[in-house]
Amino acid sequence: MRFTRDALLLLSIGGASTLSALALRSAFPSKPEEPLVVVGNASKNLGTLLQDEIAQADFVLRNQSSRAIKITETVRSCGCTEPTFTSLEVPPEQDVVVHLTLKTGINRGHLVSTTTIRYASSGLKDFGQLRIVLVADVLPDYDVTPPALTFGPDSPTTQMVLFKPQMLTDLHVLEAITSNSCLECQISAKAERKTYQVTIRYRPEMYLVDDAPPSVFIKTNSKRQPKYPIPLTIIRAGAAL
Amino acid sequence: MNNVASLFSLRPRRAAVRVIALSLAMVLCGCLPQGTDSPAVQPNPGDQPLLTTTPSLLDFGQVARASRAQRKFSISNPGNAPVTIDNIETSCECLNIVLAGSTVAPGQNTQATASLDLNQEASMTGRLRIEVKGHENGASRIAFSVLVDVNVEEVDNHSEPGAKSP
Repeated sequence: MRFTRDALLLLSIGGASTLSALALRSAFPSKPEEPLVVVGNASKNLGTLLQDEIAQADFVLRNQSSRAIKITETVRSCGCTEPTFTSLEVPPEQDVVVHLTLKTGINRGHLVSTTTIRYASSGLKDFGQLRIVLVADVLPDYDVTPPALTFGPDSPTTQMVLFKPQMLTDLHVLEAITSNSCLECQISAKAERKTYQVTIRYRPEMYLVDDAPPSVFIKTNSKRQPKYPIPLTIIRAGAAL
Repeated sequence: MNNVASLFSLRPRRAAVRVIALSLAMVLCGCLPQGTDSPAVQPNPGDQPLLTTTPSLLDFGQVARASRAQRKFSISNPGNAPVTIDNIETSCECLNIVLAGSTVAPGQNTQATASLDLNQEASMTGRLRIEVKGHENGASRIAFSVLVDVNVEEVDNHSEPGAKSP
């Protein structure tokens, strides 16, 4: 008699526990699994590279759902990365390999390239997406100091940019090309360590209202970065601050 | 079961409380989130841009391969201190940002021009989402951020055998 009562008590506790669990799970749902995932690390570090160098990396994507997945689109943060896939259709429980080719080009310093892969599946209302990342440190052929210039009413009209050899030891600065006569350039070389100094003079009276934003390109003998466009910010007198 | 029965017969209330507490603990453990997400990270105030951009997403739409294009956007300062932008980084070398003014006074705005030059990567086609961040005081504080969408038009379709692109 007592045994039956205890058994009933245990059964009722078990039932109550199950109901509580179901109620709590519906109140705090766990994150659903993504249909397509990266096997291993979604970020790869390619280490130190030179300018205009090509590096490659593979990522394995796995369809862990029970439905076929179709890769529909890739969106890149940089034109320097080109993705190709072994297949754009991924059957259930199968893998596909993404082959990323990174061309460092004229990039300098720390480079982070993100590729977002969008996919469709009959089990998804909208598209799904995942991101894979390539990281590299690009050693430039030559250093530029400062890397950008600002001209305006409160800044000097004559400023200098130094070009120092980095990976290219026999650096030569050949020519400076400006798109507007409001900017004048003069190149001078220092004997020590083949450092070049480019002096840029801004003449605000020559910068007309309808002119397009001026630009300056420095030509060098580097094959990996033959042209360095100096980023310029030109603030006209009276412009809103 | 005999042990449980004897437990109940000896101290029925205490035993029942133990069983209930144990059941609840098991239920709660089973209901904990099962994802393997990284631990929660407190947002760093330095990650929030000091300035707002209008629009926050700059859409160049479709542009031809190896072409150039420009779009303008506005950067405004909703705060009560001036902000000087002294460094701008973009995720693509193909995009350059020029500001009309590098210091934005409180309640004021400055115009910015985004210049896209695809000549450096003349073979590139497809979609780009370029991230732009302007920094104040070197790289320590984010002054503004804007996303730039570009769809570089496909002209021809050269692809290696076995390699597929969507």
